[in-house]
Amino acid sequence: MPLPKVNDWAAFRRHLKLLSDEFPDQFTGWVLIGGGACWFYRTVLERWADADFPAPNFSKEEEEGWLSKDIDFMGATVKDAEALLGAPFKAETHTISFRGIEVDFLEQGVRLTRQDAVRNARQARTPDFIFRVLDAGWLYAEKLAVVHNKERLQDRLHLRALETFLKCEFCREVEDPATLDADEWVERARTVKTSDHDFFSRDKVLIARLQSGIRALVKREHRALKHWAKHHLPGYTE
Amino acid sequence: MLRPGHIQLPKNEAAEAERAAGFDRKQKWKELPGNRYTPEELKQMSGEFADCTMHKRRTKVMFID
Repeated sequence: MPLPKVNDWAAFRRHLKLLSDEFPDQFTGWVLIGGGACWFYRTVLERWADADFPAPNFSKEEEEGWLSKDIDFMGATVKDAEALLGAPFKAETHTISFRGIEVDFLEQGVRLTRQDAVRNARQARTPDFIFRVLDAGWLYAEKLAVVHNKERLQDRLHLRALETFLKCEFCREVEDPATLDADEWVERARTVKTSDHDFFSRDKVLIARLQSGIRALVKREHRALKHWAKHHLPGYTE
Repeated sequence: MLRPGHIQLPKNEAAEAERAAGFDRKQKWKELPGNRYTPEELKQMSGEFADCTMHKRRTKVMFID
């Protein structure tokens, strides 16, 4: 039986919170991946409401295929998860049922490992609970690998949302020098460019915004980013 | 035995020579067979380290309501 589809951040958040409340010790070690993580980044992108990089407009059919109702994590083995959630792993849906939620724990992605996920997670804070989510750059790299290996509509949609999110985030960060972490920015840019060589060279809007943002940086700790731009951002000069 | 930080090491020539001799002794020990990790042992250790959760960089924090 196929799982129902859901495009509702509030419901998705309730499910995460339920898991957080029930398993406070273990939940902090789990990293949200897959469609749920893409959904989180898409929701953030919508709230940023950036004029250059709006959240993609999907058709009704695309929206219906966007996100299945299971929640994918990395950070625990299926065996441990079965014991913790007190229910068996269902091969049919590749999930474990827990109080109306379908939860999956993946031990290996197409190129993503459990260690990668644990080491490259962000912390997402809501007003009432905290969860960990795979870094957008790593998620993008994994989605690209999935798209190259599988023909599934939702992966292409996730990829479009993630690509837009990353472009927007790269720009917003260089435009806010007070909070910019240049080393982290460059590390993410490398992850993205390694998986998608043309990422920084095919979008004129992205190039122009990054050029002006990076050119305006003056702090010593932002030198690494300026150096990166000289080598990887088309047309960038000081 | 560890030396407390407030006790300074002597700076005279005899003390320097003693430290140099100690360094040589340690270096000779390092070069004895069996006192260095083999490439295989290093590889095995790397694999074990890979299971540690080590966050070198600052965790990126995002907020959402």
